Amino acid sequence: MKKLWNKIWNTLRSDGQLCFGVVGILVLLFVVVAAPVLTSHDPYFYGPDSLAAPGVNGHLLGTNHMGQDVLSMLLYGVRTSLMVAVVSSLISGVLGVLIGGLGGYFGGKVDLVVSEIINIFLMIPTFFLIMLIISLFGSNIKNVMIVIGITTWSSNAKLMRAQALSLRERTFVKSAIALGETRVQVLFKYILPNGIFPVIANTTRGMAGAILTEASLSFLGLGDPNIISWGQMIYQGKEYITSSWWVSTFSGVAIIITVIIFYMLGDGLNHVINPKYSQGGKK
Amino acid sequence: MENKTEFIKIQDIQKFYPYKDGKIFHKRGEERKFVKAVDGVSLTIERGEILGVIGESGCGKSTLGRILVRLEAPTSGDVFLDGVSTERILRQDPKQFRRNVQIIFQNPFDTFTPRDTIQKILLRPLKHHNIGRDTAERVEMCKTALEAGGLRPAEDILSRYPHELSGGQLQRISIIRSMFLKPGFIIADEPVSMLDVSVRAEIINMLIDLARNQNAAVVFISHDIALTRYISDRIAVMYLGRIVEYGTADEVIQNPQHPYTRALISNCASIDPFEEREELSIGGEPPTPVNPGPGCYFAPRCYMATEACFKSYPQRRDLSGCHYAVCSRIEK
Amino acid sequence: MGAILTVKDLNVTYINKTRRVMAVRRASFSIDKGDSLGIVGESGSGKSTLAMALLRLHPKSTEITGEALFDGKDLLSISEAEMNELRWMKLAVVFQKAMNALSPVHRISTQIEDIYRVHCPSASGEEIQERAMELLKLVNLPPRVYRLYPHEMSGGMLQRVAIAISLLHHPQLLIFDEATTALDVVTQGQILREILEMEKTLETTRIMITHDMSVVATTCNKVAVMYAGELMEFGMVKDVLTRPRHPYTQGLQDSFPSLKGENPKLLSIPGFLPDLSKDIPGCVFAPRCAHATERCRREKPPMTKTSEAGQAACWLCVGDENGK
Repeated sequence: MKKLWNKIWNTLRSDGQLCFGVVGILVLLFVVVAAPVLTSHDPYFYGPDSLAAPGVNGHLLGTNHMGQDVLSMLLYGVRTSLMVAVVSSLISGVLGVLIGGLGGYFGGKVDLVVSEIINIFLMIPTFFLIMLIISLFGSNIKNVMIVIGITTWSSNAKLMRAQALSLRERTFVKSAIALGETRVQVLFKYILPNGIFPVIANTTRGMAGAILTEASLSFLGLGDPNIISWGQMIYQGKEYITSSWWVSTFSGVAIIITVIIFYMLGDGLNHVINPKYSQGGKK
Repeated sequence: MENKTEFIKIQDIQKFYPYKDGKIFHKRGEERKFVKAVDGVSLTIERGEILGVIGESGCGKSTLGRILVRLEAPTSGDVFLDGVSTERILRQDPKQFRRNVQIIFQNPFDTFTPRDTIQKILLRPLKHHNIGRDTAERVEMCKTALEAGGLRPAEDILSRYPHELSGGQLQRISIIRSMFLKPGFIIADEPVSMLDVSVRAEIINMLIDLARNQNAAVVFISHDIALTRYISDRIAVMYLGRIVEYGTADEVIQNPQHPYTRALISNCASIDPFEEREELSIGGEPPTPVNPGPGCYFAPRCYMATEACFKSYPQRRDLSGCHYAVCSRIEK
Repeated sequence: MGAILTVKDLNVTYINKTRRVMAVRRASFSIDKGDSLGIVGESGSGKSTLAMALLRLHPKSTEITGEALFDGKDLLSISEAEMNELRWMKLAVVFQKAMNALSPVHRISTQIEDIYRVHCPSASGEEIQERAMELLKLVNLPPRVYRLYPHEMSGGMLQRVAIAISLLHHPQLLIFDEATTALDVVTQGQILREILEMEKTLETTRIMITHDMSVVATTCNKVAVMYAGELMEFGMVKDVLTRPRHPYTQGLQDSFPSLKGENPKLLSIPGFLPDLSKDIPGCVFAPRCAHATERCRREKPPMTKTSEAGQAACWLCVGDENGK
């Protein structure tokens, strides 16, 4: 156990981006858990001060046009962003790994079909598809997450397919087949575990994209109205941008910081996992 | 002479890959080109016998090995195990086939999944083939086998990851893992070519033990002629997918008849600085096996070729004992 | 005949963040003009490191001490410019993978011209071509090769081209670093024979670095056996192979099968390479040696004379000498 911690510590020290990402994520998680303690106001409470400037009446970052406390909204908004990021990436990751893995490992006609589907999904203007589906099925947060998930799996699938294609030529896969393991066993025990790491790194970066997509949808008024989200705050604040800049600005900054954190984490993971940098078992 | 127990019978194995010439459509009547990796190989192997297969890279020896363990299906031909067609065994009970036929790969550093410990790796086939009652017993089996294979301390080895072990150790583990299944037929595809000289012997001796004590038939594929001669009872020499000479190891090495075998042996460096050597040189390098023929495949490089050699593929000439060579220039 | 290269107490240490790996330790040997020396060793023996250090092609974070006198100059201390002058002109090297050494997008002719002009900028095209034709003939290649691209040739042809290129400027010392390892038996045999053949006309000194004892046996006059970065035995090939003095050389020989002679049981050397980042007080081979005594583990054996040209680093040989 101690060995593992040492290893993690050394890895973190060796890669600044990863370190930044991990610390950032820990801070975000802390905010998710401790939001009620950190905030002095209820973000859903429509207070008497509307469009109060930062610092007025104990509103550190001011209030919006409905009198909600901006700081509290920001802190609660982390929950929405993280939830969207994690759930949609999970959907996209699982779909990508399974579909890409199947195509790459089985090859032949299966691969032909899979790679065509991947190509089609890569070509579709994703954002318009998302807008279409949201406007058809309604804009609650569940739909948003699912839609983001099923429109972004294709890049993961592409990565996983390439991994599976090269892994199936490796000796240990051949050796597993020679020892009598079935195709499904080989896929789940050898191909997926050995090929999944680049996909994890990609998925982490995809989380940044998911957060942005959710924010964009909210900004266009297609977000879930019952939930506090940064995109929605920008949307609401844009009418008052000239007089009350703080409503949109702070939520914008929050989005930027969060996206950077996820991007750093994904990039850092990619560095650490990339065989070029690590000393794997391969010679 | 061929009256003994024919344990393994390889019958006219062919493996053709379509030649990719970049064209999608072909003219009607145009002859499709094929890379003939293995072009009609027939052999028999007895129990406890080690058959060496030698040849240069690209002669199809590794493809033959992969076909024998059915990592690839042959284009035509079949292999009989104890008189039963592998096609049939594979259809009826693939697990039994896998248990019976095992392969040792060339690259020990890549034979095991890098993410698992040796213990996990060794337990998988045991569990899969229901050998041993429970995990505790299987772990015990692994320890005994590792100790017997000279891998001590076994507990320490079991807890390691593949990249923490040396090539020699990994290759021994690979053989041990195959031995768990008590296979009757083992293919060793260049098992020591990536290992240091000083640890080769133990792998080779392990394979010999396997053949002698477990009565298994072993196919030893290698480009190292001296080593093949050391380990093998019989040797088959391959050139462009065909066997050009076959016989007992000593006969093939000491008294080679096919010009290709002779060239191969005369070019093989020996560690004896005083050894007299016949200087035979053959031009060029093996061409790719794309529609070779119609004559002897070796004729374009052969120093003995006559016009007749280019016209039709020569007949097999039986020499003393089981020794034969496929060349028209051999006097009967 | 005087020595063309004398290496004294050469130490090569690779340094990275956490470790210092002493890849070559206190190597001393010399090679006479016109002679051929084989350096054999298994992976991790430091044989390639040694060659790279002599050519100064080692990675940056490497510490080298000792001296290597070549033609009166210390290869290890001369300036980079002087070294560049020497490479190709006086000492040349042929690597294992010629295809990596040749540019895939240029014809062989262009590449030969470029290399030739590095040292003779004024040479005319005809002059170079003439020299190239001469060399191609020497390595048994048809003249048309001169106009080919690397991908149009087989591995054996490329290796021959690499040998021809190394000979461009009449080097005095040629180093073959596993130059025939990746080739097929027949091609290797042919190239080795061609090397011997061309030496009848050229006055070069050759160092052959290989893991294959049989290559040394067929092509070299002297042999140096390395293990774990240290020189174990040095001497005439005929002496060393017929009567190895060092237990390691003996072990290597026992693990090599013979092609035609008797077929004794192959033996392997138990154990594995020591950790080269640690200081080893005694003989590096002691942990794997059947004859090791307490003294072997405690003190390093000195290079001891075993015959007229032979030396071995083993306490057994020291005993021999005293006993006489």
